[in-house]
Amino acid sequence: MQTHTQTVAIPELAPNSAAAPEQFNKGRGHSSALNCRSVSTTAAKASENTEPVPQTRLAAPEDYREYFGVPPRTMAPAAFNQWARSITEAVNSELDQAALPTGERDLFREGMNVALMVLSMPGGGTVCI
Amino acid sequence: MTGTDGDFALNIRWRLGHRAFEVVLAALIKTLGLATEQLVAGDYPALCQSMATAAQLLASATCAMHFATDFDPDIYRGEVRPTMEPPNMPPGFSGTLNQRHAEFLQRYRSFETTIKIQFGNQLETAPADISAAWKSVVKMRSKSLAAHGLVCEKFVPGGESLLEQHVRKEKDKR
Repeated sequence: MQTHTQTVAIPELAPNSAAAPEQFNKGRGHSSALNCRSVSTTAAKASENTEPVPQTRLAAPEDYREYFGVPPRTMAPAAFNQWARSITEAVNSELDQAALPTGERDLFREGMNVALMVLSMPGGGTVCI
Repeated sequence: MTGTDGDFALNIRWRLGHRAFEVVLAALIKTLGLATEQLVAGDYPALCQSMATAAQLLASATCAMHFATDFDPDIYRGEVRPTMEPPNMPPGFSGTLNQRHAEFLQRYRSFETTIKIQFGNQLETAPADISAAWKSVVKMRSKSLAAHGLVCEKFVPGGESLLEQHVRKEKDKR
C-alpha cells in the first residue's frame, strides 16, 4: 500500500471550548489529536482497537459525534465558530489535492466562507453573497 | 481520486469531509431559521437573499460529500467501513445519527410548509423573485440528494447501509 505523507493539520476541539467538554475527553480509545474515536484503518482490520465498544446497545448520536469528531448542539456558538474556522482552514489546505468535479473547488471554498459568515452573524441579519 | 491509503482516506477525506458538512449544516440551520422569520415578517428582499444563501450552502454540502468520498471504493469497503462496524462501533451506525442533519431537515420542512401556506404549493401567488429563489433552493437540494445516492452506489453498489444490515441480521435471528 502506498504511504501518504500527511501534511494537513486536522483541527481538534479545544478541550475547554465545548459546553460539555467531558464528552470529548472520555470514551474508548479517544484520540486527542483527532478528537474522535481512535480507530485507524489498520487497527480496524486487525481488531486491535484500544478498548472494546459495547455491542449490547445500538449506535447512538454520541457515537456519530465521537467517530467524526464533531461538536454537540450544546456547544457555545463562539466555540463552534472557532471550530468551524479551523475546519475550513483544514479543508482549504487540502482542496487543491482533491479530485473534485469541475468548478467544485471554488464552489466549496466560497460556500465554506459563506457558512462562516452566517455563523458569525449575531442572531439575525442578512448575508449578502 | 486522491485517497491512496486507508488512514489518509479515513482522516483526511472521510472524517474531514463530514466535519465540513457539519459546518455547512450549522449555517443552513441558521439561514433557514432566519428565512422563516423573514417570510413571516413579509421582509421579501431579505428572504430572497437568505434563500440565495441557502442554495449556495446546499451546493457546498454536495461539494463536501464529494470531498469526503474522494478515495478508492475498495479502500472504503476494505478499510474505512469496518471502522464503523462492530467491534469498532456498536451495531447500526448510520448517518441518521447526525443530530445537526436531523435539525436541518426539520428546519427545511418547516420553511417549505410555511412558504407553501403563504404562496401556494407551486408558489403560484409568490412574487417572481421569491419563486425563482425557492426554485433554486429546491434544485440544489435535489442535486445534493442525488449526489448522496451516487456516493452510496459508488462505495456499496446496490448494497445495504450498515443500519439496514443490522436490521436484517436482527430479523434473521428471530
